Amino acid sequence: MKEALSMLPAMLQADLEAREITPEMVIGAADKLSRSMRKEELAAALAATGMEYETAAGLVEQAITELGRPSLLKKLERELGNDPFTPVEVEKGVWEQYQPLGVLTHIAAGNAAGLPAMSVLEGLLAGNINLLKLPGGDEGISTLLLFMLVEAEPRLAPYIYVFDLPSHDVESIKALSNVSDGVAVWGSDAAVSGIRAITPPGTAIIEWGHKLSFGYVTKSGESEEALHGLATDICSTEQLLCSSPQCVYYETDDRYALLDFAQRFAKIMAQVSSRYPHARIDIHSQSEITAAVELARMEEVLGEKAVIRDSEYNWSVLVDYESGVKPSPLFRNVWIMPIKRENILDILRPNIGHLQTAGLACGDEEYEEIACLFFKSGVNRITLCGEMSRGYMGEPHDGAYALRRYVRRVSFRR
Amino acid sequence: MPDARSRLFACKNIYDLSGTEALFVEAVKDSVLHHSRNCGFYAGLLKQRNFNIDLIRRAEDCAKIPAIPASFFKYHEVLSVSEDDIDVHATSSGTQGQKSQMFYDKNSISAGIHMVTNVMRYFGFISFWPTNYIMLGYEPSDENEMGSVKTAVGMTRFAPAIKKVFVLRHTASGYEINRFGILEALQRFGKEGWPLRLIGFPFYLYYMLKLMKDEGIEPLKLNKRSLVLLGGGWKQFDELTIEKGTLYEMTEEMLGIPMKNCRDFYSAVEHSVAYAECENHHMHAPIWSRVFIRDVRTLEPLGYGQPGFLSFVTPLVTSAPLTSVIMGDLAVMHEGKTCGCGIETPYFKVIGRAGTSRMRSCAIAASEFAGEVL
Repeated sequence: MKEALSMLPAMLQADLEAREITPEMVIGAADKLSRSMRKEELAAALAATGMEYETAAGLVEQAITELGRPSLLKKLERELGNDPFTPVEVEKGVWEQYQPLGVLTHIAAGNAAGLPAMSVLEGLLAGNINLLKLPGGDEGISTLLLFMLVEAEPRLAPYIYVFDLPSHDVESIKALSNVSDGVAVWGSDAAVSGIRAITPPGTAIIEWGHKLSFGYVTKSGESEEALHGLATDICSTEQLLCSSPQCVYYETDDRYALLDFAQRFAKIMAQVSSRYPHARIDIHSQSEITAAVELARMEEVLGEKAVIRDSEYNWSVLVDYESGVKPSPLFRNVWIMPIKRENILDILRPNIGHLQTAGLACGDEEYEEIACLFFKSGVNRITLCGEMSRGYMGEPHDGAYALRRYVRRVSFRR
Repeated sequence: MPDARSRLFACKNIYDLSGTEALFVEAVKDSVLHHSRNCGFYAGLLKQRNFNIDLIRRAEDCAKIPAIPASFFKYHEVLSVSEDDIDVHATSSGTQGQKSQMFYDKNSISAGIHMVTNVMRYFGFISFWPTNYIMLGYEPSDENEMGSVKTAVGMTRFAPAIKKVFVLRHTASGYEINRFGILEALQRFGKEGWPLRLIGFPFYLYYMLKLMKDEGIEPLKLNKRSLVLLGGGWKQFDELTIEKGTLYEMTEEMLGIPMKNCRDFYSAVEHSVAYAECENHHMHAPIWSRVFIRDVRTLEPLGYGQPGFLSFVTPLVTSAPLTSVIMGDLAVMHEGKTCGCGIETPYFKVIGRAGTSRMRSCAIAASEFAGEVL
């Protein structure tokens, strides 16, 4: 590996000099790949890695759509505009255009199958040479996808390098970031801090960190449909996505009203949970859930919390009478907390940089005020309860268009 | 006649579970009653669970006593005695997240001392030979309230001390590693020929042995009565992944202390019963507690060989409701006779911390948000 890394700068320089990649090359290859993907076969392969078949089939379907020409064209146009790499005269004699960052390292995370390949695809669309460090325990799906992409368009080969390095091999990761114009890092705060510490000043760091999302329900917004939606957002994703709700805030300052709300929500959780197959939960995740629930049950004795738990331990609704932002132990265990509108900033703001989606159920006349407070608190996405993890093509990610972070705006006067 | 608890902790045959079962059950029931009468939280907990003490007839029934997660004591100070009766305040040695803390009264301390003395006597570790000490941890100071420091110093009472050298020396600007002090002391102790006892954190034993190797110091042949008594967590090894067995082998190689004289102890501020390794390095359950491995989903006790939460029941502590606790460790229990050391009580092996999965999720994890959960 050391030898390969020592040859990297010379190889990259040759690649850069020969660079002729265009968005059309990438879109054409991805479209070809998308058409050749056999849904059942891929879903079965994914399911073999431990995923529920339905979830796997959903993911494959989503990938097929996202890799198709219409989606990618829309993404490119929305994020970078029409013909982004052609100079535009902005003043007399002055021209501007987008240029790729150059060499882009992707420090990928293992939370979603195929995500590392998608990150590289974005890097390619923006015209970059991509160095991908695979996540630990990668099942090879990303490598396979990238391999198929290159098969579809062999001219992409010099723009994709894949490294299977352990995360603790800091020296090698440093070597990658040393030859890069930018480093895109996916993962936990610890992963992001680690990359920040070893990346030289002047190299762009593009962070796609872990996020927390929540539901927010007001008295006039509460409806069976909204609660059903939140329960679906929780159960269908097992709360594993950054857009899945970890907490639900209910606008009240009355303990009993909050507990009533929690009980109404628990009833709906029971219905909805039975409709979604359960993910396999390993002993470590299960012990984290039980530890959190047991601690809350102790604090229930002190009057600080309340716990409504399914008799089969499949889900729980955990009430904290004190409001705050907190992650749940995942897998259908959700915090319910009271909130007053005037305290939204106070409560959410300390977690700036960590917030993502709010699933909002409120009256029409309340919407603008609450939405405005959310955005001021650092929330990047407000959506409907039940739609929290549903995206759209060309959607900004964590407050930014990904492609714009992978390019530079350059100018020239002649 | 002294109460059941005092009689239990005075017992010298520390692995005679069946012979002391009646005494244990009586002491545990006394303990539950004591805490429910003197600790509002505990009374509330028993009420929440509709706990009926009459159901506790045998030691195995003790698993039914509502168990409190150790983490609860990180966030809440609950006492079963008045604050005036508190003698010792101990904190955990953890470096990250919220520290554990516990308060002990004279009664608890005295039972604890009896217990440790009986453990040391059982293994033949009480000696009248003058002995040198290397303390693998912090030098005591006024500010330091770590339980491990108090225990380590207490452990030097079992053989008369000639000299004690601390790996972490207390200076005006805080603690610093006494690098040269320990290397110099090791070589001097090697020449003097008296038994040496090394007591404290496994991490600093490893540090010291590695330092010897790095500095090219010749392996020592210490007096065969020398002992290594470890405790206080192997957490620091997470990144290094050093095995206990490897550390013992290194100790034998570099210091000449036989592996069977290296013993690790399991203990915690929330459960201060001391579990000493036997000569085969297994932690057998002594008469003062019952060890239950609980299912991580239902908390029901599991049989041998199945991994779950490590949990204990003991009447040791009177100052706080620690009768039945669930630790933040995952462990497996094994049948006693499979050990072969002669002790027949079951033994447990810690296999890791609870709730430390590498979550395959992009939702923020509790562990990165608020420190450890347990």
